[in-house]
Amino acid sequence: MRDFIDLQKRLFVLLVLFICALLLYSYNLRSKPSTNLFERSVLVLTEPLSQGVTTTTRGVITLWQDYLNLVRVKQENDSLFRELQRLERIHIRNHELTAENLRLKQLLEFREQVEEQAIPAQVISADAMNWFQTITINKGTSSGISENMPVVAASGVVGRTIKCAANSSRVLLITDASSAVAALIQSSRTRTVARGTGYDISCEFAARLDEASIGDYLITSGTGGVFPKGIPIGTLTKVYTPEYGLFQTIKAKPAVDFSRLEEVLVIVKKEQ
Amino acid sequence: MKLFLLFFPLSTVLLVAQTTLWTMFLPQIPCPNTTLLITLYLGFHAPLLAGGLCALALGFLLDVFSGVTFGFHGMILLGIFILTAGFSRQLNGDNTLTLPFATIIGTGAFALMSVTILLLFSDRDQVWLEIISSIPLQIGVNLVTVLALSPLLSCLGRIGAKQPLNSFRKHS
Repeated sequence: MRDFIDLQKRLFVLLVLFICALLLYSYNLRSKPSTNLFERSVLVLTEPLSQGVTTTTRGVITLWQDYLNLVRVKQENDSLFRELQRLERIHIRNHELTAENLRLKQLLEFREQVEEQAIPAQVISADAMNWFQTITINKGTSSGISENMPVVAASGVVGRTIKCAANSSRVLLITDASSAVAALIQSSRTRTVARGTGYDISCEFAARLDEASIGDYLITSGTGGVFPKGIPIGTLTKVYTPEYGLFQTIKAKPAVDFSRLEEVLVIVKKEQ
Repeated sequence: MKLFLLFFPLSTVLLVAQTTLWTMFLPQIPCPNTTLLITLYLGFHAPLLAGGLCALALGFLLDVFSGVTFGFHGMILLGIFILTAGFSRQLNGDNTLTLPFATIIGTGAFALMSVTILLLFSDRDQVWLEIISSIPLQIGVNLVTVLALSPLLSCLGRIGAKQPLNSFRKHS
């Protein structure tokens, strides 16, 4: 009997804990994005590990692609091809350098275009679950980054910061279902809200009579309070105008290829 | 406390590995839900209160690495722990097939709880179809992972219990 009462007590405590967790979630859902002490501590402690693993792995991959593969090939070929392989190796390295140069140049040029101060950062990890679209970058509050700051790449909008620790921040991508960006269809200036669907973008509240065509560019409108005006979000891939109703159904493909994203810029507004 | 000190760092290392290495090498395959697997293990072997607190802490840890709102995974993993601990009295937790079986049910339960909470509380109503459609592949990935992790979990469980796992819960 005593065991039974003891078990009921423990179950009761767990149920109370569950209700507390529910209330905590509900409270956080309604409040402004912020980073609590627990999140900051974990991010601070794990950032060196994430950064180390990412940097080392990328280094090993580069080494493997640029050097080890060639060494293996070199061992397999006879002496007549040695000179050719040396040239090929140099060519590949130059090609890599050219691509890197171009990418960084684009990033720098983009940085010059942006009026606000932009902080470059590297992507160090992705979301732990598959149905949330977030990434972690290697810059945080020590670099002047705080929650709700816009994050962009050379090709367009990436997302906004939602959690910030000293040396790392989590960024909510524009493809996440809880992301919404005030947008404009560039050619017709139609106002809409670009909301993530998990893998692409859905344009909500685009008036039925406004013009929109497949291939049109979608840009930030600057009215949402987070993103500056005129940054590319994506291109329209599907436009359906119903005969009746208020709004059109519009889908867009993001301008940024998130699967290959390595460097981003966090825009810090001047007044901040 | 000992359980927490053993499983919390393990979960942290696994989360760092899956957010960095997994997404780099296997971007097309969904990440295994290692935190859920540890919670299921705790559901079978840990004392009710200590295991529940540990599951809640693991959920909060997962919230740091995933999602938008703090508390989401904490609540779900605590719920999964309570359900697993409840059913574990009817099952043989030391059978090697019990944890894989629990993984299948647990992965489905995790997805369904996620969908329910997202639909009821947040405005992420578009994501439910993605979550539901990902369940079969997620079960496969979680099954492979739980088979790989089982020896490590058992080893840590023994260290945490300081006694054979069979008698661990009876004494607690």
